[in-house]
Formats: sequence, C-alpha cells, structure tokens
Amino acid sequence: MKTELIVVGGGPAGLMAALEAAEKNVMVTIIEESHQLGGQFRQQTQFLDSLPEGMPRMRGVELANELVKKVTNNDNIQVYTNHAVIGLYEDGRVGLNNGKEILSCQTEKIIVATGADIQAVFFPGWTLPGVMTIGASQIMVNRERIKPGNSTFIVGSSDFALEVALQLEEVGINVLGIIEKDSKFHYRKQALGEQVKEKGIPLFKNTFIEQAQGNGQVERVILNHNGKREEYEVDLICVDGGLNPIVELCQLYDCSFTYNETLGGWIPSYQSNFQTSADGVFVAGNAAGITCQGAVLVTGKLAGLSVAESLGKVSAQEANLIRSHYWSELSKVEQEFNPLVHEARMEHVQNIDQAQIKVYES
Amino acid sequence: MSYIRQHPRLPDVNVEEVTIHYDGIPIKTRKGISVAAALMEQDIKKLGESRKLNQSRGLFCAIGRCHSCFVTINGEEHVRSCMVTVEDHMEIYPNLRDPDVRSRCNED
Repeated sequence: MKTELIVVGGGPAGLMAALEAAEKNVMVTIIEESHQLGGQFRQQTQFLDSLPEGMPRMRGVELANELVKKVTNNDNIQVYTNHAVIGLYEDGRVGLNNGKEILSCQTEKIIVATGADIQAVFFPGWTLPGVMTIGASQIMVNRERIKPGNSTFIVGSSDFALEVALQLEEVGINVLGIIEKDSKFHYRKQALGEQVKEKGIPLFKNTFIEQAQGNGQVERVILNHNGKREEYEVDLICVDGGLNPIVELCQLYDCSFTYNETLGGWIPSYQSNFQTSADGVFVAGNAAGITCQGAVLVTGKLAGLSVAESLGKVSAQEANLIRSHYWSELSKVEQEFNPLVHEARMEHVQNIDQAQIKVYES
Repeated sequence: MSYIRQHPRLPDVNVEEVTIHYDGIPIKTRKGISVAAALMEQDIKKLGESRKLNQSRGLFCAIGRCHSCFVTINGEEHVRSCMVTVEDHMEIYPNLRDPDVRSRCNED
C-alpha cells in the first residue's frame, strides 16, 4: 500500500481532516480500527453545540452520517475499516493489522486523530460487570439499541454525564441519581441541569461510591452521601472520570509532549499548523487536547489543510490565509465552549519551542 | 430481553436476524450489533474472569481500549467482544482460562 496521507482514526476529526486534504488533491487513506466510520458521533443523539460556521444545528448521529457519506463518495479517499495501526517500520512504513494479516503502508504524512477515552473512576468493586463508562452505556442504548441495565447511578456531573443520564432515562432506564464527589456540580450548561431536574433525576453533591457489590455482576451500590451510608439496588453503574487523549502513536513517533492539565494532561506539542515535533506527523481532534465537538471538527480541517500545504498542493500564502480563517473559527467555537480551554490551546501552541520531556513517576 | 425496538430519537431500522452460540446455547440476535451487546441483551454481563485476581470481567469502555470484555470467538481467544459484530453461527465462549498454548507449557 502506498498513499500521500494516512489519517489514523475515522472519527469526526479524522473525517474532517481527510475531507479537507482530499479537497486539495491529497491522496488520503483512512485507517479505522472499528467496523464503521463516524467515531463517537455515531451515538450522540443530542444536538451538537458550537458547530463551525456554515453547519446547521444537528445531532451527532446526523453529522456522522453526513461526513461518512462525503468521505465514501470522495475519489481521493480510501477507507480501511477494521484495520488498526500496530506499529512503525524503520523505513517509515506504517504497520497495520486487520485481524487476519499484517500489512504495511508507505506514506508521506500522517494525521493522528485517535480521539480520547473515558478515564475510570476507582472504588471497591469498580471492575464488576455492570460498571461501565458513561460512554459505553450511551453506545449500548443509541448504537446497539440495547438496555445495559434497568436501574443505575451516574458517577460524575459533567455536561456529558447529564446528557447521557437523559438519554438512558429516555429509553426506560431508571436513573436513580447523578452523584458528584465534589461540593459543586461540574456541568456548565444550566439548561441541561434544568432538564435533568424536570425529568425527576436527582443530583447529589458530596456523594461518592463506597462500594459496588454483586455476585459476578453489579447488584447493589453503597453510596456515601454527605458522610452517610446509603444502599441501593442497581444493575448498572455508569462512570465518568473525564476524557483522556489517546496518543500512543505520537509516542511511537517520538513526538515531544507537553503537560497541559486543561487540555487533558500529556499531549503532543504542536505548532499552529498542527504539526508535532516529528516531521510529517500531524495531530487533530481530542488527541490534540480535550475540547468541544465543534473544535474537534475545526482542528481536523486545520491538520488536513496543513498536510496539503506541506505536500505542495497549496501555496504557503494560500494556506496561511485559510489557516488564519480556520483559527478564528476555532477560537470562536472553543471560547463559546470554555475560554480556559482555548487559552490553554494558545499557550500549548506557543510553547512548542520549550517542550518538556515526559518524566514518569516511579 | 432489553432490545430497544422503538428508539425515541432514532429512526427504526430493518434488522436481519442471526443466531450466535454462547457457551453452546443458541441466541437469536440482530446483524450489525457487537458481540458484547448481543450478550448484554440476554443479561449476560460477566464475560470472563481474571485468573490472577479472581474477579469477574465484562464490558467496560465499549470502544476497544480497556480489553475487559475478552471472549473466545470461533476458537480465537482474547477477542474484544465490543469490537466484533455478530455473524450467523458464531461460536462464543467466555474467557475463563488461559489460552491452550500457555496451559500446555504450564503443565510440564
């Protein structure tokens, strides 16, 4: 296999990056580990917020379908689903595995759009079947159309946690409550909080799980609510420990990393064109720092454009012009979402010259 | 049975029925869903065991990251059940013991 650009990850950022580059005549190959394109947008039944300019208000599933259709119909884009990147060869080829055989692909450039995963929340019994991430429970009800349980607690109070609580309730799962260990809730959209209360889903602060119990799977949970122990019968616990960028591929490329707590911890350093410290390696989406859905899309466009520029498909002058337009879009959607995240991103981009070496605690 | 036949937000889809086998027992399910979901629909949540810690294991992240949902599919061990979609006549077994290759070498 031979291509000009490999995009690793067929989620929203990867698809946007692929479309942007393909539009500028780059031959693109998308490598997607799962059997479908669309990434985590596939189960977002809520309306997406802070979408970039020119995009109508729509639900995640709708946008996923639209992007997948565009990518599938684009002659410059080759899609390999059920293929995972498993390593890099010395000569620069990218190693792939499709479950049957090992392949390799030669490429000029690569965009890492591997997304993020949900951090676990630890408590005694957290490994019991029936305890899962809120993302997993959302996949079950909206993508697989299966109820993973009948009664549940949601652990965490982010916007996403509230959104998922509503979606679980909607399909008939009894959400006994949303619990938050801190003394205040973390959701930012007041309207979402109101909606949850209207549905009769209680929110508990200063509350955490002391223990989940059950024989082979979750049967009950013991909560500590303001220092008081309470026991409930549940068959599902959905945990939200926040998002963690997936960046192993950047580690393989020996990219420099910078610690940026607001953006999700250790993330690859990159310039304003989203190129990392490794030549030809670009990053996009949540792998470039945890942000809102609109910004995930714009970072994809930025990376795709910059790859086209680095391949000489677009002049530097033209690229700079489009890039500054995309950056103002990014700044608009990200500031609308959370000004601190955008500030952190600006700082991250400016810091590339002083990248720090990652030190593991022993 | 926990199939959401009519989803409040999503259009109805035509589903093709397939039969899989879990631990020898036939299960009717629908094409396109993951093995983990097909089992969860039957309230099968425990998919394996940690031999080291004596703990049950099941679906946790559903995106192929945590490797907690390992099962054996058509003889292949340690397959992530959240990443594989069901196919007619699929033979699935829980992940309760070490792979043959390792247990043979442990026996001597």
